[in-house]
Order: sequence, then structure tokens, then C-alpha cells
Amino acid sequence: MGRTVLRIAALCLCLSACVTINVYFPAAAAEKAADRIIEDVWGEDARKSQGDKRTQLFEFDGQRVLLAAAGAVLDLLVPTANAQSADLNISTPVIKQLTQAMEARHAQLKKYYESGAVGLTRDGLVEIRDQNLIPLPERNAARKLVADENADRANLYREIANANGHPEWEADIRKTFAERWIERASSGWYVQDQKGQWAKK
Amino acid sequence: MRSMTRRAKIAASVLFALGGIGVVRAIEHAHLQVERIEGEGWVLEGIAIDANFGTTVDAQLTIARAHLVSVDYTLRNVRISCGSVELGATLVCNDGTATVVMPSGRQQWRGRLAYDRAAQRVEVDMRASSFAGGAARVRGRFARGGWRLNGTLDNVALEQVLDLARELKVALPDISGNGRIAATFEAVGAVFSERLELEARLTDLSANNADGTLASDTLALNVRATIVRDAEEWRFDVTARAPSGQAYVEPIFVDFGQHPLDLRAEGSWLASGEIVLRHFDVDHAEAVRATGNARLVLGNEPLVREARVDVQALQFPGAYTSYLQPFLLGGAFASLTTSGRAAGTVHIENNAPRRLVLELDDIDIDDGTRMLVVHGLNGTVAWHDATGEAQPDSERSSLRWRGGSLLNLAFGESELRFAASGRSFRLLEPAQIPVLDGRIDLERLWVDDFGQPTMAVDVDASLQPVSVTELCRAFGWPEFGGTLGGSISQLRMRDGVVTLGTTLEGRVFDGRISIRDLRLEDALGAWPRFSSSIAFENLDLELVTQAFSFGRITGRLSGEIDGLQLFNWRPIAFDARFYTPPNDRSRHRISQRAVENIGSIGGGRAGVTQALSSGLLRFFEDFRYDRLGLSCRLENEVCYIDGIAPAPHGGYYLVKGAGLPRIDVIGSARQVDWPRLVRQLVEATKSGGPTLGSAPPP
Repeated sequence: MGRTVLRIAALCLCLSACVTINVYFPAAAAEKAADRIIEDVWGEDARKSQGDKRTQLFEFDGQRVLLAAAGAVLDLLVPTANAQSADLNISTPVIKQLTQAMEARHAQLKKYYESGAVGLTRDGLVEIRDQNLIPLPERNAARKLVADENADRANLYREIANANGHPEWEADIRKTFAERWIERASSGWYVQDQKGQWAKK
Repeated sequence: MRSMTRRAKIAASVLFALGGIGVVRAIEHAHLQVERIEGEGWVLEGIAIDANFGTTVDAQLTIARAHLVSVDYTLRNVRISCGSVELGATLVCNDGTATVVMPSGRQQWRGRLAYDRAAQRVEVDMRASSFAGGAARVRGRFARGGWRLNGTLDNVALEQVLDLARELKVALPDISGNGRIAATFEAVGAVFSERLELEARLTDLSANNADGTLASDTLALNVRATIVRDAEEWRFDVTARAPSGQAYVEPIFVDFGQHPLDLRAEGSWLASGEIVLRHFDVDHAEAVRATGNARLVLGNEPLVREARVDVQALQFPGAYTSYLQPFLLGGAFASLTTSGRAAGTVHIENNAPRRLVLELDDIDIDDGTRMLVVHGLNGTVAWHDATGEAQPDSERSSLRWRGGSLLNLAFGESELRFAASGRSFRLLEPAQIPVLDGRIDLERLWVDDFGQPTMAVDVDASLQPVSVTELCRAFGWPEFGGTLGGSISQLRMRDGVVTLGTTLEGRVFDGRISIRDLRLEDALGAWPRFSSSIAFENLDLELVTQAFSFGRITGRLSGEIDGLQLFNWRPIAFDARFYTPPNDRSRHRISQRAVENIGSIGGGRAGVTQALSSGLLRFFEDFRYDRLGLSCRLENEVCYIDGIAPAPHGGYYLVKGAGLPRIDVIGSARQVDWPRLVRQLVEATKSGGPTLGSAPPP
């Protein structure tokens, strides 16, 4: 009798947890999507990926770790729970247009990444970190490039979340991109660490 | 400068003491040691004087520590030696050397010091062959009645001067840089007044503050200043000229090589810290010429307490490239060709403009692409801030123009009368603006929170019919007839979203078109999103197919494009249907070419062509049809196609024939790649016909 109750409780737990699995943020798929977009935007300037490094589950907050643990158990119990392995849709016309605009802009931004005038921030954007490295006549143009790039990046993160039917993923997608931009940045470029301090790669 | 007079007295008494020793000829060597001498604002410690009395007299003065109280700075190891001392009515220190060791390096000055005992006057003439990377000379005369000091700096390095100033704890803005300075100065002090004349030439000045919002590059600056101390104020008269180089004061970048700048300011610096600019003059060649007055307080916000600037001439294009372009950079109107002039007055209080009146004089604007062209812009813009009291004269503005073009649409001569205050704008009288061969009657135009993210715009207007042919010509479309007009009331913008509360009606191709639920998001941003729903009613297909060279079809056509969404003006989603209206009694004929083109949309061009070119059909130019139609639902770049009715084998009817020879066009492809479809439709309207294939299943 006791065992039956336990089984029912476990089943209930599984059934209720199954819902969680479906909305769980597909970190690996998001990384893959980010890498594809970064390669499109940066072209040869994107450093070779460091293998298929999966996001550390334990970087997330407590609730995530719990959900991830529940998910790991349920992966064994429910083989069809494959939300993690699906690719994210990044081929909508909106995402394509944004990516093309960013790719075109990269040709102009590249020299500022290389000089250290512009760096990659921890929140998936770019920032002028030392305006004095930009010749005077170019300063306004560089400020405009950075503002436009950030508007496109914000649009891109929102659009990927929307295109995949999960607007609530926007913050996670931004976080994934932030990590991948920094990971794939060429050596010599400036990137922010988790505390917001600039470091040269 | 008063303390200099006191210092002079002390110097005199020291020399006098030396002279006293010199009287006793039997002494060959004298050594005088003083532990500490203190004056107002300074302390000297460890003072030693050594003198040797031979055939000539030489002397040395060393000061271990000279502390300047006012700047809290201590000079160490000050050493003054005289190679030969003349002892007479005037004590003279010839071949004098003064050495000071400072953190920035050793400073050595050579020259002559003299003390006229009768007149109690000290004279100094010293040179430093190596001073801050250049050379310096100072000549001075200090007497009871006053003092006079003049000198030159030759090719001195700015960087080292800044270091020296920082060592002396001179309050400087946080700037670093390099450049060269050549200067002459003359300072005169009397009991009640002091006066400084300065002439400086700064060359190759490249400096910047830490965050790069303020910078110069190879800037040349010539400064001439007269500063007079009068009672409790310093009066100044400064002229400056920047003939070459560049400067950046975010976001304004000025190339003085192209537009040299001349400045003149005359005023007083009061003991309270307030600066009264009684008059200033700015002449930025071919850009702006202005005069004015101002009251500033340094180090205590707001900096500008009050100012009035009379702009005598704002000259285009110089004013545009120097002052306006930075604010439009990268936007649609970033590279305009401008000409004309403007003049006006600006009042500023507590760092913020309060009132502005600007007279525009025949200004022309042209972006080169007909997106924005204005000819002969004239009028007055009067503005006051929201808190300011409304003044009848400054309340009304009016702008008139001879003509121009906006978004490729030519507009004619017109005038707007409006009121502008704070961030709001109100049209005061209805205006009529000719557009193409029609007219916009503007009833209401109202803007709030201008330039803010919360900017709100309301427009009520009506469009007097514009001919569609003219519209097509303006946008480079295939030309076709018709008119477009209607009420544009309830055009609103809130939070960056533009909506139209009414339906736009038009007559095209002898039928009716209505455009409703107009919505434009991110209207002013880089990625506008447009959505609308469009309905067509009873279009004459013959006119339509003629206009688009699609192959002739006669009959009528109705349809809807629901949920049309454009991202950056490209369609990303819609649900469209076009069909022969029910109970249409018009003549229904379709040409061979049109059959081919329609067939290829359904994915069966090869079959259609084959069918048409074989057997009896090839002798017919056109065929009768019962009805035709097509639907396309666009989703993620795939067009999901259907026809007017299901056909056998999973196909769908695009054209249902009638009579003999009867021809039915049945489509099979359900999904077509949209970008490819558009390319091929464009080709079809240009040449004989398209080739189409079906998209791979997504």
C-alpha cells in the first residue's frame, strides 16, 4: 500500500514536473544559435569555438538548479523530453535583417574593437570604453555605431525569444549571447568580466 | 601679487645683511646660518649664507626648505650662488645661479640680481635654458612703490607646464595632453592695483579629458589678455583666436582649419566667485557670428546663471556641418546640402534656454535623394520654455516655404502658423499643403514631449484626392490610374507607435481600396514595423494586368490582405486572398500569357506551357473563365498557397474555365519560397513569364 502511494506521488511529481521541462530554457541550443549568428556577424573575426562547451548548470540560481536536476532525472524517466536538443529558430526574416545589418556594421566597428576604444560588455552589448582612442573627427560616428549596434542587439535577443514562442527567454538569450560574444572575441579585444571590469583578451 | 612685494623686502634685507658683512674687509670668509624665517604666506628653514672675500667676492645662499603656505608646497634645496658680488651703492649678484630641485626635475636659472640700497629696489634678470622642455626668461623690479615683472616662455612643453602646475597644486581640470607654448607676459603691481598683460601662442595642442568628451588635436591658439585688479575684482579683456587644428566638445566637432574661431570677452571676476561677462563676441568663420553677455559662477552649479546671446548670423552650410550635423549623424538626414542664413536671440537662465527667437532667411535643404528637400524656407520660430511666462510676441511662429519634397512626394508652397513652448507644438491655424496634384488640409497638429521617448503626436487632416498615377511616378511604380483620398483624422503617436483611427479610402483600377488598422511601431527608429489590413473591391482586372504587364485578364477582382506586417518595409506576414467577386457579370477572358503566369504560381508552369502550346489551344489568344482566385498566407518567408476551390488529387483551382475550349488551371504546390516568388513575379512583369518552383517543406 505504502509503495503504491509512493509511486502515485512520484508519478504526480513527474507529471507536474513535465510541464517545467517544456519551458526550460534550452541553453545548449541557445549557445549553438548564438554561435551561428556570431559567425555570421563577425565572419573570420569570430574565434574558433572552444568545442561544444555546455553551459554550467550550476551557474544558474537555485531554482534553475532544482529544475535542471528534476529535468536530468526525468530525462531518464521520460525519453521524449527533448526540449534541450531542439535547435532554436533563428531564420526569421527579422532575425536575418538584423544579422545582416550587424554584419555590415562590423566592418566599421572592427577597428575600434582592435584599438580597444570599444569593448564587449557582460550584458551582451558593446560600449565605448576609451573615447580618447578614437580620432576626433570619428568620435560622433563611433558613438552612433555603438548606439545602433546596441539597438540591433537588443532587438535580436527579443526577436529570437519571440520567434521561438517564448518571449520570457529574452533575458536568458541575452545572457547566452553575452557569454558567447566574449568567448568568441578575437585576442586583443576588450571584454568585461562578471564584475564589469575591462580585460584584454 | 601683494605677497611678492613683501618677498622683495625680505630679499632686500638679506642682501643688505651681506653688504654689512662686506664692510669688514679683514674677514675672508663669512658664514651665516638662520634656522627659520617666516613671512606672511611663506616659511624658510635651514638658511645658510656663505661669502668669500678675496679680490672678488662670491656668495652662496642655500635654503633647505621653502614652504609656500598658500599652495601648501615645499621647495627643497634652493641654492642661489653669485659668481661675483659687487659691493657698492648697489649690491649686484653677477653670474647668479638659482637651483631648485622639484619632483619634476632640477630647475636652474642663471642671471643677475641687484639691490639698490638708496632706492630700496631689487632687480632680477634670470633665464632658464631648460625650462619645461623649452626656455624661459624673467625680469623683475621690486621697489617700495610697486613692482614690475615681465618674461617670456619659449617653446615650452604643455605637458611639463601642467605637471608643474599640478605640483604647485593649481586647480586644473582633469586634462592631459601635449603641445608647445610661446608666451610673453608683463605684470605690474602697485599698492592699490595689479595688472597683467599676457600674450601667448599655443601650438600643436593635443589634449583631452579622461572620458574623451573634451579634446583637441594639433590645435593652435593665440591668446591676448589684459587682467587688472581693481579693488575686490579682477577685470579682464581677453581675445583668443584658433586659426587651425580641431576640437571636440561632445557631440560637437569643429575643424578650425576650415572655420577659424575668434573670441573676445570682457568682464570681471568678482571676489564672490562670480564672473560677469559684460560683453562677448564670437566669430566662427562662415558658421556663426554672435555677441552677448552672461553671468557665470565657477565651481557652483548652475554655471550659467544668466546669458543673452544675439546671433547676428548663422551661416549655412557652415552652421549645419559644425553644429547641427552631429545631432543628425547616421540618421536619414545626416548629409544634407544646406544654404541660407538665420539670425536670432537666445536667453539662458540657470544653464537652460528660456526663450529663443530665430529668423530664417531663405534656407534651402536638400538630402540629394528627394527624401527631404525644402526650398526657400523663411519665417520666425519663437519658443519659450514651459515655465516661462507666455509673451504675446514670442508665442507665434510661422514658417513658409516655396516647395520641396518629402519621402519622394513633391509638396508646394505653404505656410504653417504655430506656437512652440517647452516640448510642445501646436498648430494655430489650419494649413493647406499642396501634395502632387492633391492637397493635405491640416486641421490639427499637436506634439507633446518632443524628442522624448514619451513623445506624443496628434494629427487631424484630410487628403484631397491625389492621383494614383502621380503617386506611382513618385515612387517609381508601374503607372496606373485612380485617386487616393480621405480623412486622416485620429493619426496618433504614443510611445513610439503611430496609429490611424480612420480608414483611408481610394479609387484605383476603377474599383475601391480601403486601408484600415494602420499601425507603425518604432516609427522614428532604425527598424520600423508597419501593420495594416487592406481590402480591394471590384478592381478592373484589365487595368491591373496592363499596369503590371502580367498578361491580359478581363473581369473584376476583389480581395483582402489581412494582418499585413512589414518589418523595415519588407513583408514578413499577411493573409491575402484575391478572387472574382460573386455575381460578377463582367466579361471574363484570360490570355495565354496570364494563364502561364498564374499556373506557375501554383507550381505547374511547365505543364501549363506544354498544354497551351499543343493541340487546339495554341490557336487561341485568350479563353473564357468562370472565376479565378488565389490565396497566400505568408509565414516565415514561406507562402502557403490555395486557390478558389479544391481540385482532384490534392490540387486546387486557380482558374475555373468556362465554355470551349475550356481551360482549368490547377495548382499543386502548397508552399512557395516567398523571396523567390517575389523575384519571379518581378521578372514575370518585365518579360515573357516566370519560372517557379515549390519550396522545400520547412
